[in-house]
Amino acid sequence: MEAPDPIPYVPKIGQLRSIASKRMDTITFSPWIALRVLSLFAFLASVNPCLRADEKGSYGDLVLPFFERHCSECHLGEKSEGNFRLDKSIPFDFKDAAVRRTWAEVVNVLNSHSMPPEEKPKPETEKVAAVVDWITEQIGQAELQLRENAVVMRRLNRNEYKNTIRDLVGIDFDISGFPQDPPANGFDNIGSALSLSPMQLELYLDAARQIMDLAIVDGPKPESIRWRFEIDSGDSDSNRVKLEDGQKPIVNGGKNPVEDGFKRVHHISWDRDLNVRDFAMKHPGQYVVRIRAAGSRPNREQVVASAKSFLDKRFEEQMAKNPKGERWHRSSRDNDLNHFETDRRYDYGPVRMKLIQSLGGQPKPIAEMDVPYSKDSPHVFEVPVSFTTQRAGLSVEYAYSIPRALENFWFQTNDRFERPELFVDWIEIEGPNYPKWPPASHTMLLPEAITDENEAKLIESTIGRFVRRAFRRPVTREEAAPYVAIYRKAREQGLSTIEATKSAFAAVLISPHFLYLVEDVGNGEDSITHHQLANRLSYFLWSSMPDQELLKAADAGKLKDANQLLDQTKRMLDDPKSEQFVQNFADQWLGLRDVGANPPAMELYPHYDRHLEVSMVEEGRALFRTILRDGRNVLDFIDPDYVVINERLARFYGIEGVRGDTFRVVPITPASHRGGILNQTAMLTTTSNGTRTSPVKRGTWILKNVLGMDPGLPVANAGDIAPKVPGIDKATVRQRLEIHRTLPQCARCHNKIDPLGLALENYNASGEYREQEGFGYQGRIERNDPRIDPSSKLPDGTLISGPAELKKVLRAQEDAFLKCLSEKMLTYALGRELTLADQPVVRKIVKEVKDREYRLDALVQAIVQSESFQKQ
Amino acid sequence: MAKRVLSRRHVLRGAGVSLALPLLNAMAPLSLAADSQFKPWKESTASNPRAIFCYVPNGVNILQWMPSNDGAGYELSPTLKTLEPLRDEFSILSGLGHPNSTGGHSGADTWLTGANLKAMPGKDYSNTMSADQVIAEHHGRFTRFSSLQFSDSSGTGGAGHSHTLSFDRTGTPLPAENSPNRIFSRLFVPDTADDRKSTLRRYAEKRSILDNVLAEAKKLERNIGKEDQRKVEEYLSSVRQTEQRVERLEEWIDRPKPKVEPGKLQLGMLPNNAHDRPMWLDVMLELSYLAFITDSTRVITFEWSREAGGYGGGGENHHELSHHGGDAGMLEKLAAIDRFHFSRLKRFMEFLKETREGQGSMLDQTAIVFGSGMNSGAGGDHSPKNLPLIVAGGRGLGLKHDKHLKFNENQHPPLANVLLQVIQSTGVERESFSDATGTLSELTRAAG
Repeated sequence: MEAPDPIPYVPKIGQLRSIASKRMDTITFSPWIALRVLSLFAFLASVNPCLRADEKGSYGDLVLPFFERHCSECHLGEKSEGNFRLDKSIPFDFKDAAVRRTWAEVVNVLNSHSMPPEEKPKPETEKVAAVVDWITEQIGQAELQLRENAVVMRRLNRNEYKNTIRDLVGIDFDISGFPQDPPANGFDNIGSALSLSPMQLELYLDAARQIMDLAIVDGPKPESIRWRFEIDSGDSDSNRVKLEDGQKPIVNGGKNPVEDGFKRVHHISWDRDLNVRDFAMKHPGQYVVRIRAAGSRPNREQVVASAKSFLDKRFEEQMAKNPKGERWHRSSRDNDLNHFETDRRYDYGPVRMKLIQSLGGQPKPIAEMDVPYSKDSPHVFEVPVSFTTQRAGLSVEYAYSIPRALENFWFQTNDRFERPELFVDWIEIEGPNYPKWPPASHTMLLPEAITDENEAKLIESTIGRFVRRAFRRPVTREEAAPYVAIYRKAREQGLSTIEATKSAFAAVLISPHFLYLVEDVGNGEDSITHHQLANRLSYFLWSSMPDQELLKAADAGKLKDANQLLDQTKRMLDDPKSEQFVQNFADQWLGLRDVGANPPAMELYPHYDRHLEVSMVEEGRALFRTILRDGRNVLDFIDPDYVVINERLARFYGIEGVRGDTFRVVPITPASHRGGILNQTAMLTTTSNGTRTSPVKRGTWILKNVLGMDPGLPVANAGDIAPKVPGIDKATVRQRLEIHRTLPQCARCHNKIDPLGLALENYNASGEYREQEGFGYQGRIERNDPRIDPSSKLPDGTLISGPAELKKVLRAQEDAFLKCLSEKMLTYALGRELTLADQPVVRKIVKEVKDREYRLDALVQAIVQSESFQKQ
Repeated sequence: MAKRVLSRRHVLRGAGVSLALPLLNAMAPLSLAADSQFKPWKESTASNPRAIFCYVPNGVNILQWMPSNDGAGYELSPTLKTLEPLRDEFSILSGLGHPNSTGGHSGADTWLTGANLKAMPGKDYSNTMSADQVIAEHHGRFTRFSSLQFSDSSGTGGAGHSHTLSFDRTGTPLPAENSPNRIFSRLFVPDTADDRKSTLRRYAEKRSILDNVLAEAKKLERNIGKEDQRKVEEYLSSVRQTEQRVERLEEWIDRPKPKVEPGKLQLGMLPNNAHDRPMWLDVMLELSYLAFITDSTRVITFEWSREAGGYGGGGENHHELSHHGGDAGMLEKLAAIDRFHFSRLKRFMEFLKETREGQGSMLDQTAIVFGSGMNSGAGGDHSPKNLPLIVAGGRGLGLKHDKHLKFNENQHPPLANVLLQVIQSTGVERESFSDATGTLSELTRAAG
């Protein structure tokens, strides 16, 4: 979602800097105010029925005088500032959620020193702390009474469903047809937000049946095929080849030249996709597609040499035509040559290839990869692809993006011009592949075939075992009985044992005990059961169900033992399934799911392409993964002396010596202007609006994701910053924002937000480092374009010179950052909103992380061991 | 995957003649995908109220869109001129917007709901029921599909950049379909005979499964906390509604799907191929027409492109142009896209108008709402105010046209009033919708 920019705020209580100070300059004291204060005393003291007597004491001694002294001037009576009235809008029924939110806001405002306003006498720190403690205590007590911080029964989200099906049934099920799960608190696994609509239930119902049809087989192993298509066998749709089963698919290598049996494709070819299509599989299932391919990757010298040969030729022709214009011809040749010598886009990466599958007329990209193999030693790429029995096709596409800017040169379309080229030899399909028959999914569900003879003996245990695994806990015989009944009913209707089993199992897959993480409060205790703990743990670290070992530990009642839990957590983090934690948490914390939703405009940012886009998502994960797996310091998120990148990012960042598509740790110097989440192009593009940067969005991002502060909601209909400013020829984003900020209602909050974002102005809307803001044709930087001013004054008065100092300042705020990260991870781990009552837990977690060298894996351990994680 | 060919003329028709286009890859003479040859039917068999909601993203060139004067007999703006032959059949509304909408590219999420997406404390996003679903809850009982959702991107999309305009009673997005092929087979390809028995058996199985979980969930209800009980209630109500739906499917199984030959339909068009775009829009609207005329559904939402995406008729990047910053060249290209969209809408309206239905035409029985959830203004803003909006057709439902209803953009009735008016016009008895303060009855009064 694109927020208007800059963002004035809904007047939230306390974010309001009073304009009343002006009033008070002239009115020193008025009897009217005295009267109001008196009535406040009377009011507040009288309306507080829910306080216990001793609290009334501390309230009267502490809080009331504080309000009277520091707040009543502006927050009393009809003329109260910011919809915050001490005598009206701040009641004391702490059991009411709205009341608690109001008080929580008071805490926020006092903690962040945004109230009382600067011009007013500052309250003593101890007094503020005492008031905050009192409020926190009230809220905590009320929440504990209401158990609102209890985990809500939560539906599996799309990822969790997919993973759980994989582990439970052994099937890779496509969940792309399910609606997106609504996020809350930044995560899509929050129980209170995960609603269920009738349409979703119907999808679950259909999915359950499909899953069982895929998992349980009946009959002999389907015969597998292996078809190889020589892609150079034809260059149009009229080329059909006959397969042994009689089908005659089209093999179309396009009108591309053939070299050594390879079709040669480049970026400007008419037919950039080579395809085989119009066939159908007899059996649905997992197939493997192999492509034998190679590529070329000219280096800069070759590019320049080839350009030079064209330019020299042109020069000679021009000289022949008009010898008098030599000076002009020469300079135009040199200028053009200079483009090829200096533009870094000619430092080509390896050529790329994309595999697209089409089923029933719907194309779907399956894989995209570098092809760093020369024609002398081509490579056979293997890609797993699942097929249905629909009409199908495969196409291999040239996928290296050569920016359009380069195509302006007439000779770039010439075959003799050096550029990455793709060579494709053949495409092969083999499958369906079953390493054994019946497949693993089948034997997992039906270890022993059910026959008419053993049916009576086996059916209850077979169904009971599945119910137990699907519910992820012990089940009583009574609980499994209805599913046995479904089986029996199906049998009575004449269905086979296999079909009846599918029926019963499908029913299990839409049970609330499967679809939700249910933690019934039946046991009357605070702490959760071992099995509930096992589930929390596995959905936290694997986004999936517990495995056998974890369930065994739970069965044995050993999981709550601190050492056992520690070992299990370690084991689970070491398991490849924990990649789900890396991706789901990092993607949502760092906003990686927003990458590509509003990409930089192609004309303005020609370096941005699809390969960069997938790489930048991976970069955020790779940094997280590295810090987690190597036991590194969490402050490395902010200011590390390394980046974790692949070659595509290295080319984009201008970092030398990185070859290949795999991500690795690369040491950097300050001159690279990179390192950490704030300099990652993912953050920098998602906080831009496609055509320009948005310091407001960047500032908000930092407040929310690094410092853990919520800057609040923008006011509806906030105007955008003007694209042009009358009177200033080249107004930078910074200038335009400053003009906008002269509005007092905007300035109040933006003084907090903007300085953080402005310090990142050295990075343009696609995340490239720059020193000038471009105003030339298509955003190019021209000599006289304004220089970027990344200096900034933070709200506390600190002056910083630019992005490097911003990182230093933020690193110094380690407590705020650790708290922010801990809160986010705890939210994700619990699948619920944190409440004030979790604050002591968060403090403890932060302390433990500090005690253990600030390690990210220590944070995971501290969360798992925390009271919030182990209590209902 | 199939190769399409576009004539230069085809491209230019959509884009306006002023554009110099690069020679695009797909113009290679491979085979000829010409304009659609689809012809409307002569007569619609049944006469029913219908509604279709068509959404275009990224706003329009509002300068060329807004007529200079208002009321009856207003002068058509340059963009509206495209619809000139049909001026009796539509009205333009200006100044309206959803008070809760925040602008940017979240317009499709709220266009038919009017929701405040941040209204629920603790949730980053929540939506409410959309107007089409209010209509579908009533009229959907009579058709095979209670409503259809079309879009250029299938599925639901993400919060704040929805791929669908439809949200059910709980505010859950209803996934949209973007493949003409899949829509055609859902609507018109008959189930084979031996499928029937197994389908019936599947339905029976579903019902027995649902019965079972109903009992299980009820047991669960006794055992859990208050917040959890709400979850179980939600689950139970979903189960009950799904049971009802299965029952309805059973009723439909013996009624064959209507007979429609795919003959002239270009079902292979791809929505996200810039070159297929004009033909894809055409075939989607042809399918909408066919779905209506066969009474397969009476309610359709169609998001022509998702927000921050989309193409013009010649493959122009619609989103980039919406950040025009007042640039005259970009504004002109935007206007060309707007005219292109109107030319497709016009074709669809003409189909409806040429088809007899009862005493009048199909168009008379079909309310069309066309617009965008964003206004890119004079300077490339992304404002939720003064939204481009057209209401067309539905004269038989009481709508009256050929006027420009102009409202003050800072003081206007909520856009939900228009939606409530359309809801009521289709015969749904409903007094309130979203934040509507009433109906926009001006739409039902004669011009002048």
